[in-house]
Amino acid sequence: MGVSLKTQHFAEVLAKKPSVAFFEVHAENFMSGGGAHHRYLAAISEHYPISVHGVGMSLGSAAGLSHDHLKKFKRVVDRYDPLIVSEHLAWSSEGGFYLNDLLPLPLNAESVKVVSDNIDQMQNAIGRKILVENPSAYMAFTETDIPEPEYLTMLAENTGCGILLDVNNVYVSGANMNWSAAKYLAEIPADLVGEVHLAGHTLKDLEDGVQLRIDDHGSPVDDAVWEHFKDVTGNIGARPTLIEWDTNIPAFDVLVMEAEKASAIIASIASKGLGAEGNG
Amino acid sequence: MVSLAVFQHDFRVSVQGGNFAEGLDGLILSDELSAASRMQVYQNNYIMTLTDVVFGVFPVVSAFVGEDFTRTAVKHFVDDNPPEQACLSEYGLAFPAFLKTYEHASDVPYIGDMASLEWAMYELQHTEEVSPLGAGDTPAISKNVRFIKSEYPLLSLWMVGTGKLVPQSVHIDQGGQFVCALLNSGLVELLSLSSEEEDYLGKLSRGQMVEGDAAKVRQSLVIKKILI
Repeated sequence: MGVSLKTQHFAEVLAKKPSVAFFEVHAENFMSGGGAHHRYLAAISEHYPISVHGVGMSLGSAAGLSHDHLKKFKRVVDRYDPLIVSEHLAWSSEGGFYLNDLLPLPLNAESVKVVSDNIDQMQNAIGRKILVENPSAYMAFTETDIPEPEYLTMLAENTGCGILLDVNNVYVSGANMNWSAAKYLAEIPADLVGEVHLAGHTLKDLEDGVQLRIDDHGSPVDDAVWEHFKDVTGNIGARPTLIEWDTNIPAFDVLVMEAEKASAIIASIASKGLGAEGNG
Repeated sequence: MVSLAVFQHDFRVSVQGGNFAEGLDGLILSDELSAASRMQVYQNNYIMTLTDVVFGVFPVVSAFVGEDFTRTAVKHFVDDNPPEQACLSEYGLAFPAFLKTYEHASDVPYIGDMASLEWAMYELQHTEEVSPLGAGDTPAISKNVRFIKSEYPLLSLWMVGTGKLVPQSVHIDQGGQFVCALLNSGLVELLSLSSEEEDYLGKLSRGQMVEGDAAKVRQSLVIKKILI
């Protein structure tokens, strides 16, 4: 099991060398030339595999990718030779502006072509296969006519990319748009999944008693998400699994405890002879 | 059918403008929650996350003028200076200049200089440190330093903001300071330069150095740290 690597935990990780399978960092936090954070990551990467997770590539941009951002991303990948490289099925740049969010796309033939071309460009630029993560969303579009699991599968077929399956995102989006997370998760082809993400979310009260689940990565994994994780593991088998935590950063031990919980679930399912190699 | 490019333009304008572009009418599914309410989640994320990014770079400014004031100033800054690239490590570069002309900061006229100093430290902490050259090389100003000239006692005010001096020990009319932020073995050190040292560095940067100046001023421990 892996955990997000946050600056608050750098020194503790180096001092204690905790039992964690890998650490994941956001590529954008390591695009500057130097600094203590690079020195820490270089030292930590001598002891642990690193996963590089992009949040700003804007794979869904109709205008294509930023060459400058691609170059910076490649420098991070070349510098740390990560175990996994991933990005999101989302967009965040338009008209020369960056919106600092993972924005949703209408899922249709036009956007499949746009995203596939952008994934091709990214994979060619960095010389690596990437995993594409399903986004969390707070809205859906009338011009969507391809279900998201099918859409992700099409991207994989078009580009050779894999899927980063974020179970929390599936749960959040399903709850926010009133569709079944269990059905979605059952439709993801097991052989395409290269990593699983787990994270916490919060419940926000809106108008007329309506609630939205906000994917803020600032709390423990929700019980319902753990239940879906058990089902996913039973269906597809063990995958590199990450506890993501990006806001309200707790003590490092809290992240390790969440990772141990995920490990225990995988071990329990493997001991029952379910999902050890995956069923799909 | 609206093209993806047009959809993304209208969506971006809505997120940044805090409104709902006409072009999105009928494109966003709504149920018990309106399309505008769903859009508001993205609008809030935009302003809140960018505010957090810039706010996080200026903790001493915040300690000096208060979190509420700083957050409000940053929100206005974000409105006026939307980011243009996904790597946000340079977002905030223009915040000190923004503060210098921010109408609500007229009671704290030194706060722009303090933000300049804080940005210089942040920038140095994210810079690859250049190794000093050996003795005997032509003297030059190290790439590991940044200078901030202020008509206020900037370093003293900084020390108040970081709790190293009591507020009563500094008065903003006591004279300006020329402050150097120096990256040395991974740590940023702050130094206040004398007018003689400032004059020497000015001449050096303009290629006007003469031997007499060099011999005299290079005895200064501060100058020794700044030169390579």
